[in-house]
Amino acid sequence: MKLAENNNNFFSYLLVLLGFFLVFFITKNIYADLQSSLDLKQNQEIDLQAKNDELNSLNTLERELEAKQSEDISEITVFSADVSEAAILDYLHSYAAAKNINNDTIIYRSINIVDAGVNEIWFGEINISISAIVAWEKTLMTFLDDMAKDNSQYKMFIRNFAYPLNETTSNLQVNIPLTIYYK
Amino acid sequence: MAVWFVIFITVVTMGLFLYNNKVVAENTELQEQISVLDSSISEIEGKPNIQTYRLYEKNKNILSQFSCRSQISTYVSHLKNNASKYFISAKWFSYADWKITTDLSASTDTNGTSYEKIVTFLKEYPIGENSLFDIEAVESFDGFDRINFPWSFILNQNIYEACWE
Repeated sequence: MKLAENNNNFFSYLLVLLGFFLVFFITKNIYADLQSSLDLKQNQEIDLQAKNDELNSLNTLERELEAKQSEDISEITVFSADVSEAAILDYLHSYAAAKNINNDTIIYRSINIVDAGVNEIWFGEINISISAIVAWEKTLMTFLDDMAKDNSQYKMFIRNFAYPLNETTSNLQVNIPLTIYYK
Repeated sequence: MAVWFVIFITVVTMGLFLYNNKVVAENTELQEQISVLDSSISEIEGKPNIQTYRLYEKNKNILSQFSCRSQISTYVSHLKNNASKYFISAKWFSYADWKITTDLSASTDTNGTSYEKIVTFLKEYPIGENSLFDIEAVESFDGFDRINFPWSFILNQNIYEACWE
């Protein structure tokens, strides 16, 4: 009778030991894996939501750009203009031809076009150096304004410029440096 | 009691194992969805108009600054108007890096003596409400009845900052 009771106790201890063995060597590892998987799931859900939002905003932007509804569309279309030598030459001479009808003359002596490659803010850059004779100072100022205005055919900037002031009685001979940004 | 303990541990362990497998499967599915989204995003981002727009948005302030810098006629008019206001003549306009350099001269005539015109100009222009530029120190004045001096001025900080807005 006592022997059977001792055997039962031994078997019980063995089962409890087995239980602890399971907890420490199997359950604990599975729990750690589960925690790791749940953390990964949470991060991936956040990531997925962010990617979904990004894709939606990109789709919206694409639709707006295609439909030309965006306020900025006019701002970016200038960067997509044809920047071939032929197109630039056509643009400059068409401008001069339109001016020259009204005796508001601008005569190009030379036009140098140099592709400077991609600049520090990742736009393509073309440097144009124009040597010209203009009828009046006002013609010169109008030309500079028209080249650099926002709704011009090209996105042009004038980084530096020099000319003699108050030469109002004769034609002005000037060098005009222009820079086109394109993409 | 010990048997129930082992059964309980086994059931909990099995439950955790199965739940973990389910979460791992969900993670794999999420990863696939993210990959699909990534490729869709890359495809749209690769389109030229989107690239241009992104580049424009990123550099909007710099481009605005360059546009501001290109307003040559505004700066010429400003120089001429202020020169005539103080009966001073400007001979040359040179502009680079927000800085204008010019040769100014003032003569003694019915509007005042040459030095008075220059002194008034040097005193009043820097504090004028409509002054676009800050003047740099003038180091030499040549002449007496007709005084010539080179002059440099840099776009006012407030105007410069406004170009960035």
